Amino acid sequence: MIKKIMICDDDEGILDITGLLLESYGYQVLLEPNSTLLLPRIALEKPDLLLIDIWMPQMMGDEIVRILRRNQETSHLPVIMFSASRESKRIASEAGANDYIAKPFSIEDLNDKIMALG
Amino acid sequence: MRQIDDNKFSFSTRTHNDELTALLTALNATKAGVVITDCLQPDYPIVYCNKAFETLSGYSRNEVIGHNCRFLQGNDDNQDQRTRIREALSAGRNCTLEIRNYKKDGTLFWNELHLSPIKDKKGKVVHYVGVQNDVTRQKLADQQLRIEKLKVEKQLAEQQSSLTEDENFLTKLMETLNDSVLILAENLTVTKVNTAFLNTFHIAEDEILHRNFFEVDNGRWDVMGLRSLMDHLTTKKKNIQNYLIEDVPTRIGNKILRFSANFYKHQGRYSLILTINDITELREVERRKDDFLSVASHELKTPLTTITASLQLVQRMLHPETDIRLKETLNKTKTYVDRLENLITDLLDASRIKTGEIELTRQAFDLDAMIKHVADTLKKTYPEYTLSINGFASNYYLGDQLRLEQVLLHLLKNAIKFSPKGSTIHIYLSRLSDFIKVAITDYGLGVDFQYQKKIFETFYRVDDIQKQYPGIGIGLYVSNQIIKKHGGTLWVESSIGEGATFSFTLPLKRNNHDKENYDM
Repeated sequence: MIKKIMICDDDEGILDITGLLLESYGYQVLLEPNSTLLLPRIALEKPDLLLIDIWMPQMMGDEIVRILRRNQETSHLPVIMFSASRESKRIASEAGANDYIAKPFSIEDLNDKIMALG
Repeated sequence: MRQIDDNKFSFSTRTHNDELTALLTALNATKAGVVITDCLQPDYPIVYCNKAFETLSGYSRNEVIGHNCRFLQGNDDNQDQRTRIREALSAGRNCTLEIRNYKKDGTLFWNELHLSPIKDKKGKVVHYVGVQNDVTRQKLADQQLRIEKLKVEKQLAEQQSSLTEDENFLTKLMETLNDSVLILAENLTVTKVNTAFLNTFHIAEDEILHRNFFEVDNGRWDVMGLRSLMDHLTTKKKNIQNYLIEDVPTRIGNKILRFSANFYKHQGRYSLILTINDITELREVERRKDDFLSVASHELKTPLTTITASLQLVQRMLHPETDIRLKETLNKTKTYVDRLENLITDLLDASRIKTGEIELTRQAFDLDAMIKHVADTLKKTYPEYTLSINGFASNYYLGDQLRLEQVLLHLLKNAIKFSPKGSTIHIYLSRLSDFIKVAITDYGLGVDFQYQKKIFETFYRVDDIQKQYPGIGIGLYVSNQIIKKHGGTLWVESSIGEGATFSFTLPLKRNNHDKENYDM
């Protein structure tokens, strides 16, 4: 059962609104705009799911997912990657994400994907 | 004519002895025809002819004695040789010549004639001896030889002139081209080079002409990719188009070169016409454009994501008793934002397809499930339409799932767009031989026959439709290109006012349709 979702996106507008949307579905939401701070936060907060952007300035989303997958504690953490570019689906799947959703997304579709990983 | 005893020939009554008889017998035994004329008689009559002369001319002795020799010339009495004979006779000189003579039966023969005067003690010419040989065969052979020689010379001259013309034409043609062109002999010696090549690669003509291709520029061009291309060309003798070799270390730096080669055979020898394009800069421009498109797509869609998400949030935050007009306004805004997103996607796709940059991924997926998923998603968005799926295509397809989803979404959205509310859209799935077929039938406006091909062109819009249903006319173009890239076809069958069926096929075996870098 997924309750706590960590969202990481360098665009704070998307970060805030997505957070609010997911909250409206009853999830507990944690926001992180700085990808370099994400790994320690995940270790600390232990979310049930990570929703992460691919193209970020400091550290790319797929790089973070690869690190998560190599780490025993986080190797099974459900990850959904999202991106504004259509070709990113392949990047997500190669990095080891469980699912991918293209921006802009419909909150219903996103929720369906979250529930499917629950 | 006088009767002459066969064995006792006599010139005249003036001379006659045994020695003469012996000589005359000998004359009779030679193969050359011999006649003797009497120059003291008017018109130089023949007073003697031997057997060989009879055989040669076909005339019997009886028929010639007393006649002037000219009867041998028949009607052909306008020959220059006659003048020479006359001159020799009047000067009392020897004379040798070849003259056209005619046998008794009219057959032409070439007579090699030697005339010698016989003079008396006072030096006066009393007789002429004519020795004759039939040289017709030799003459004809010579003549034939001359004719053949002339023919050959003429042909050579013609070929030479046509070769020169070809050569000039070829040079002009090569100089007209902006592409670098080399002509190589079978052993890869450069026989011709155009200025474009010399200018592009900063090589002087004498550095390349009549040298082996791989010796050019101190062997710089002798790289593995090019060597294997040339080996392939010279062994297989097959033409190639657009063969790319990266990192060719030319004098002007490492270049990406595009080669095309055509063979031609002339006089049993092969030559190779090689055209070379330096596409290094083009590649760089393409790469920059590609980067730009990626960035543009990302930058345009990021704010759109926030807008979409905000709208969805506001919709969720609305109180059940909120004014219906506000709800409708928000729905409309959402519709327009969706349309904007589709437009951005289509425009970027179209510009990529135009430059051939859309690359398909090939992954196995469940096609039937994908179609069901797309239909289910649309049912949620357009609850007033019924989408019915009939049949099965394949639960395993190797292709670009996202792109095919895009096609399906486009065709279904079109069907919905042009159909009356409450109507049904049918999706028929089937497998035909080694092809999958997907057909989408609506009962909407339909497409007039005259537009049925044009609607697959970029930015094509049917005018009347444009006013009622806005759009930029890219979706079908993009869809068609995606299906084509999968090796299938997309088409429409429709009658105006009776709806339309858009169908596409996809081959299950793709290997034959995969385009190789070059076709060898």
